[in-house]
Amino acid sequence: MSEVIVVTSGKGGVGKTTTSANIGTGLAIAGKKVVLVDADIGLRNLDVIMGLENRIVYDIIDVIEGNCRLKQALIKDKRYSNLYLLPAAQTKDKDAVSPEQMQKLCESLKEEFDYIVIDCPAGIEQGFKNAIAGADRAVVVTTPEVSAVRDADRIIGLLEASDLKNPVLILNRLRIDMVKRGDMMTIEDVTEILAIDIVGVVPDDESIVVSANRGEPAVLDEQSRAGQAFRDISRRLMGEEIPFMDLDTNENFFSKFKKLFGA
Amino acid sequence: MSDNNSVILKGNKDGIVVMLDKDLEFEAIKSALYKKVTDAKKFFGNSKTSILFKGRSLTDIEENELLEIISHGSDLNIAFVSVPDTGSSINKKEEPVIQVNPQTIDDALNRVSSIQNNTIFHKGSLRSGQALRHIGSIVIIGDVNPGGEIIAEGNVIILGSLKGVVHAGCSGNYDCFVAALNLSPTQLRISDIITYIPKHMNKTYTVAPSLAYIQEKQIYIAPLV
Repeated sequence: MSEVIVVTSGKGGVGKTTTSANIGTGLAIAGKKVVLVDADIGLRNLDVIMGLENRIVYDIIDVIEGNCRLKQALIKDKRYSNLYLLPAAQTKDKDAVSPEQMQKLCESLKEEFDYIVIDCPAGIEQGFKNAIAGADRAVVVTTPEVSAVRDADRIIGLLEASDLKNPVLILNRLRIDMVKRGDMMTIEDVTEILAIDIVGVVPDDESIVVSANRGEPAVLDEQSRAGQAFRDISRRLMGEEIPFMDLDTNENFFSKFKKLFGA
Repeated sequence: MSDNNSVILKGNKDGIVVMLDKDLEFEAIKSALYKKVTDAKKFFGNSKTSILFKGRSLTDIEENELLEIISHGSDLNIAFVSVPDTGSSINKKEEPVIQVNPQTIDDALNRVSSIQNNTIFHKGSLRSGQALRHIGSIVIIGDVNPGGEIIAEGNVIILGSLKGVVHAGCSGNYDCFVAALNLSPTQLRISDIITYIPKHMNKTYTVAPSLAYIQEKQIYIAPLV
């Protein structure tokens, strides 16, 4: 049973591309046959995050316009032979595709792959409408900030009005230290407004910047806490029940000492 | 320094009136208040009351500090803070007035509920970007998230949290009201009067079921419990 997952948010810069790359890779690590589709036409980034930008010959527009066969445009990942990327075009814009064309494309991809992960562009216009056209389920990414949550709420409203009922939420870039100080929204503050199920909470992590620059998704780094969070999310998307990570990291020597004595 | 009369606590039918000396420096007022409150702790007990500050204009921060002193130094359950109607440098008219007097609330409710409207019931929450308009009254069984809008020619009742924009009596009816289980709109409008809930009122006073209505072109907010 193939599944098309669209990763969306409304707000830009909250982590859609990072999330798409990492859960796609996470699903591939678990043995599934996965294709990542970059639907951000004109502002493509997924290829950079995956470290595959030098291998692009054909892109999604070429496939849709019939300039090449689908297989020719798919780029096999450097590390996992069951992971592929269908890059976006950089020299076109989002009006170059229609929702119907996206839907047809997703149907062809479903014949070959277990999971199709679509990286949705920011916004609510044509790019968004195209990206959700062929999707079976939606993952909404937000950060714990008022503006991001406002936009996520809008997006969820639009998803619920379309065929994508029951989207799930990823809360990205959470900083537990700021939450404790009262300087950042808590997980409950966010879910109180958005009222959808959380599929994962990803801590703010420097390793994401490093991995983006290197073109190596953080899930491949055993030391990365964000990577661990994305690995858990991939498994939850496959239906497994994984307990949520303890995000509390600030263990100075004294608090470790106290814990030793049962304080 | 006589701190005996710099702060005087009096009770009346609306609650407790805290008379503050006009000229004394604020730090001295704080310590005098603390002493008065702790001395009277047993007398006041743990009743639910409202507080009215008189005699001196206070900034929001100063008012909050005095309220902290009262709630820490006593067992009182502060339900509301009445806004003093003395001329103060802060223009309080733009802000809603918290009404505590049960008789006034009753009168307002009798006046507003005599309006005949056709009412629609909406089940579910309104998300950001969703608007609901109706020529009668609206009842929402759910929340209104920030960015959501309710526009009614009649009354608006929200059985949930109101965090968006609400406009009751939009065609010019001052007798309409807005009620919610949690009244925290980004903006509240009744007819052509617009207001919002200032941050210092927000956390303590409107998280309980509340009703907003107009009296003499001023928005009042009253508790519903």
